[in-house]
Amino acid sequence: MGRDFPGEFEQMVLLAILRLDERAFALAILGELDDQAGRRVSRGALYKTLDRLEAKGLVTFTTEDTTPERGGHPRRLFRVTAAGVQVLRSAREVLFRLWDGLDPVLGERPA
Amino acid sequence: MRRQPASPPPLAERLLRAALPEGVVGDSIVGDAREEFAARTRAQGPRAAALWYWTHTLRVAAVYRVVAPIEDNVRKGRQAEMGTLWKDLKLGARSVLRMPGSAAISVVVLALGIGLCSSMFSIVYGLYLRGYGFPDEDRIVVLWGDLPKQGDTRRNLSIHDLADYRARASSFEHVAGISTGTVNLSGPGDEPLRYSGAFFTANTLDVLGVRPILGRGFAPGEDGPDAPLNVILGYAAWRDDYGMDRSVVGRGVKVNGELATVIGVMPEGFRFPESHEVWVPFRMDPLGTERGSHSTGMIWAKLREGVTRDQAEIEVASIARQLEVEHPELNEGLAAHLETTVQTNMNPQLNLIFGAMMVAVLCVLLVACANVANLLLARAAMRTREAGIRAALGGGRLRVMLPFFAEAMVLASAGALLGVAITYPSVGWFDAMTATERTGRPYFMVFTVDAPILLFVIGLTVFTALAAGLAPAFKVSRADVNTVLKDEGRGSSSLRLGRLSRALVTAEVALSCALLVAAGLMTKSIAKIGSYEYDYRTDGLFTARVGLFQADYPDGEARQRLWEELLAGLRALPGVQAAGLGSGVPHNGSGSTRVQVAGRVYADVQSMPSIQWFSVSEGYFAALGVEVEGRDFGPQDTRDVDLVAIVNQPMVDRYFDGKPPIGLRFRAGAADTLPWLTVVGVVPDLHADGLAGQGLPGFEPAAFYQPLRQSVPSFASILVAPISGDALAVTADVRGVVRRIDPDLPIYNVYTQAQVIDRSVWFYSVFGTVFIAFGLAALFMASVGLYGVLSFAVSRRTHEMGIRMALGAGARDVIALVARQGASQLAVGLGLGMALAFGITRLIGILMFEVDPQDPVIFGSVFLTIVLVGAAAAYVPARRATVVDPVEALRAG
Repeated sequence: MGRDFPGEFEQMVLLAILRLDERAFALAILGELDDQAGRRVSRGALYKTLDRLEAKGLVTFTTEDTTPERGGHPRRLFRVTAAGVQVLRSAREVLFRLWDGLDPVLGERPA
Repeated sequence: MRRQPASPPPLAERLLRAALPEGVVGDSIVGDAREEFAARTRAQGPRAAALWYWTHTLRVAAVYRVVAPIEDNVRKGRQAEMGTLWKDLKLGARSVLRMPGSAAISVVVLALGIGLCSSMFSIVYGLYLRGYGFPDEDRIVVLWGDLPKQGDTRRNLSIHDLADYRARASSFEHVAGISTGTVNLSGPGDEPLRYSGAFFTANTLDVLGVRPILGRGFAPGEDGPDAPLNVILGYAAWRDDYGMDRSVVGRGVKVNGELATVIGVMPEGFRFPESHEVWVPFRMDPLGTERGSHSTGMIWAKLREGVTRDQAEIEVASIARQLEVEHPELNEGLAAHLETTVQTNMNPQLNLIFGAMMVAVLCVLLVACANVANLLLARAAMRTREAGIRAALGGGRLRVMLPFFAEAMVLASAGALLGVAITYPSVGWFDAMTATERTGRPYFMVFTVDAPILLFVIGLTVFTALAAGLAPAFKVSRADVNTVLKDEGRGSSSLRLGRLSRALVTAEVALSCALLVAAGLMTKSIAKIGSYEYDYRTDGLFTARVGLFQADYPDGEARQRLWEELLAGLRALPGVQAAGLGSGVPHNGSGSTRVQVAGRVYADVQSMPSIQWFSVSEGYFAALGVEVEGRDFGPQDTRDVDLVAIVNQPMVDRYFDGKPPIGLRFRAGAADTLPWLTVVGVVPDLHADGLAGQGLPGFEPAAFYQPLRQSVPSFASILVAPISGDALAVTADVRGVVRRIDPDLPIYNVYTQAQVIDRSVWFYSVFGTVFIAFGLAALFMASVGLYGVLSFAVSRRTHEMGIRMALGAGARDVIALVARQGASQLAVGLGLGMALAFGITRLIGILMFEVDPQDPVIFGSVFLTIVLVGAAAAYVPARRATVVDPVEALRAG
């Protein structure tokens, strides 16, 4: 598993962006993480993670028109790149492989 | 109409923008913040939103400016300079463990220095410098009378003087009079309770600037002669005896038999002037009473705003002068001066003791600093070579010094932490040992750790540690690298740190010698007090106090009747072998008076001896288990016959030239019209004034006793010796007897005689323990110092030792070589120390009980101890020198 294997939080952010589809603004991602993962995330940590994911080429963003409420500041809409999807996929495969055959050990029936 | 959206705090927004990266990323984050701010303003209001915006800003800024850069560095594999700096620091810190023994000793030395010094400073601060904590305390002054002729510089002034100062002085806003006494208060259950009370003129609380928490203070005029009586309760009395009942204000009570009203309750912790619990007006009538016929009090005053103490001092002096002229019969020679609240609580005897302790503590502080310096010099010097190599390889000064700094820092911090851990419990111990119940110390004297002092001491020692740790590195970073490396190779260092540290060690040995002698004498003194054989009963003796008030017992006859009834009642109690009454008990005298022995001529009043005086009933000496040589007092010693007295042995020795005194006569008082007292008996020394002052110049062990019937006191101590069992078990019986005679009369100060003694000698054990702690700390430090210097010296000479041994020197020769150096320092230190000890012990003789300050056994054992400890400290490094492998040592060169 190379050094590109994304961290847990990075995966969650990527997945949240995918789930939000065309509405993946920073504040919405924050809300999605809170709703789906029950995680209260510090905004600073989220912004920094988005920066990092962008630097790795896993996400990209476009800017949208501003609203008066934002005082003329642009809004970023995030999308997961093909590379990002690829990374998520391989991460899932790694995890599946690791999970495989562990149901008896974990005391759960296969679904 | 569209509402203009509220904008976030501009400063916060600017900060946020500045913390974020340039361009669209930062802009969009600022936009997000604005959007959320708007939403929060709608939901929670502008204030909450602004608060949120600020926290949000700070957190995001922290992530972008602090956390992220560090994480990035870590991610990038601790790149470049930052990484090596860190490595150097870690290297230095880890080198603490390379010599764990010497590291541990450095830490303990630092901790002891910090702990002892800050404890001692905190104690002195609590004792002298903290003051009362009144608001505007710098404007409060105490006005004392001065009678230089009698050596009395703190004389209370009369109410007439008070009235005159009040009327004439313009420097003061208020001038208040205060006196103290005991106050009987009939409480809620009509059970009379006895308090120590103070009498305040109505404006006293204005001077102090303290207000009651409940009700009010005394109003102007309530201290007049005919004003209805009011009383203010202390917090403890209100809490313990009135159940914190708020309706107590306005309640009628009896104060010393007189009807009075409770008008207020003072805040917790207010027990002015010393440990007082209730306050009643100081009712004075300077116009209605004749000058000189009325009581006196302390005068406390508040300076007017803008008036300096010097100005007030001049005014007070001139008023005192006027009064001298106007009333020469009373005010002749009576000057006056002002003191601050802090000055007024200093007394010469304590000054001496604490002066000695401060000197001791400063010594310990010096020794601690010297030791730490020595140890760290030794450690650091061993690594001079390493520093030299670093410098040779082109390391800058910072790179050379960093490991040294890190090492010193680790040691210093550990020492500081441990020092703090020592300070708090020791100050707490001292506070508990000198608690008011035990020592009667004033309420404002509280011993807690004083943070600024603690910080100062820590700062000083840590600075020393850092300075010493860095010195060699500093030297190397400046010096010619070549020399350093060559030098190190030969093992004979150009670092000339040796001479200074040797001098320091000599001084340490001397100081610890002096402190140990003091500690030894103290130990002996404590042991002596603990095992002192009293000539009278201590354990099996019940004592308590009873006081009669003028209102209830106006004359001597009434008092006399009560004492006789009381005595009869006590004697009739079952299981009592003896009972008596006296104006005081051993160790807690009732006062002294001038006496004139028949056949002697005295030049003036000052040359008449001032002697402890007691008034005692028959049975007093029997209760103490003391045989009277001659005869005891009996029913025949009434007011109608000639006055008689029993004297103690010291009085016989000092004033009757040791002759059998029975039948000899003396006068009690300075006037030559007074009747003679005839001596009818002699008792041993009953320590009328306690053991505390024994051996002090001016201490007067002489005492005489008069029959109760011939000199009727208003206060008396009850002495009851039960046949067996716990002396205090008779308390209820005694209380019953008193209440049968007068239900309004409480008994108080219920103690066994042993407890009375304990209360008077507490300070021997407390201060003794303090000195012992100092002495042991000093011994430890001196041996550490010696060890440090010698092991430093040995480590510098490893190469030389190797050559010597290669050339055939034996282990014995090497040890002798090292030991010789140690021995000379030890000898000089011991010589100086013994001389110092002679001086110091004379100074602290005051703290010692029946111990010769020049006790040869103590001096001898201290001498021996230091020689042994010193030898051990020198032996370890000397031994190390002998195990040097010659080949290794030479090759290392």
